Amino acid sequence: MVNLQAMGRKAPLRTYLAALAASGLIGAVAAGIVGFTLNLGGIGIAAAAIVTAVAVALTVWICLLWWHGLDEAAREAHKWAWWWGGTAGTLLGGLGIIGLSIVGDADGRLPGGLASLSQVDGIRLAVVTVLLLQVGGYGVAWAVWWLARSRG
Amino acid sequence: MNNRLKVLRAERNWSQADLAEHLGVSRQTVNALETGRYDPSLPLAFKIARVFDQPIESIFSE
Repeated sequence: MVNLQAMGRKAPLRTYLAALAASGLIGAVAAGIVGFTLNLGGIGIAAAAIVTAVAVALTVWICLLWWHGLDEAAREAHKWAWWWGGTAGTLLGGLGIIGLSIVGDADGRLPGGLASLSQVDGIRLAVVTVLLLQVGGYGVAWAVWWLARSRG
Repeated sequence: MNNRLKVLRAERNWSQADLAEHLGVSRQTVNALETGRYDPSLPLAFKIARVFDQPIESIFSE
């Protein structure tokens, strides 16, 4: 059994990347299975829900192991990064989406090349955009906090 | 906040990794503490005091 606590304190960045990679792998496998099962109809939807729940549970478990392996400074870096980076990303994404909705036409279509998107695709694009900006902001803020303090 | 961590560590011929091992934190955190870029929580400050067998106020100052 890998001792994530000891690993997290000895090599926090490598442990972080390993936890991210493991979570990403679980997500990719689950997405592949869900993509297949959704084509199977009723029973497939139930199977997709179960696979998704298992994937989320596994990922949360990995995150908990990783979090417990961090020392207080590393935790502070992540809390600070999530608040400032995540909030900045949300603000940026929110403003962009509200801006797009304001300049859309009277029929409710988005402007420019986005006009052909259905409402469902528009919602998907908005959610993914905000999530990516949150994660991007988080990454930048984490790098600013942690790298500025851990240099020799 | 200022601290004497680097001096106390040097007196014992410990590396940052050695002190990190004693405190149960990463070497990067020890570095951040020594350079004054990160102030420890109260529990960690007490732990540091125990490791060096000194009162907190003799290690940390404003």
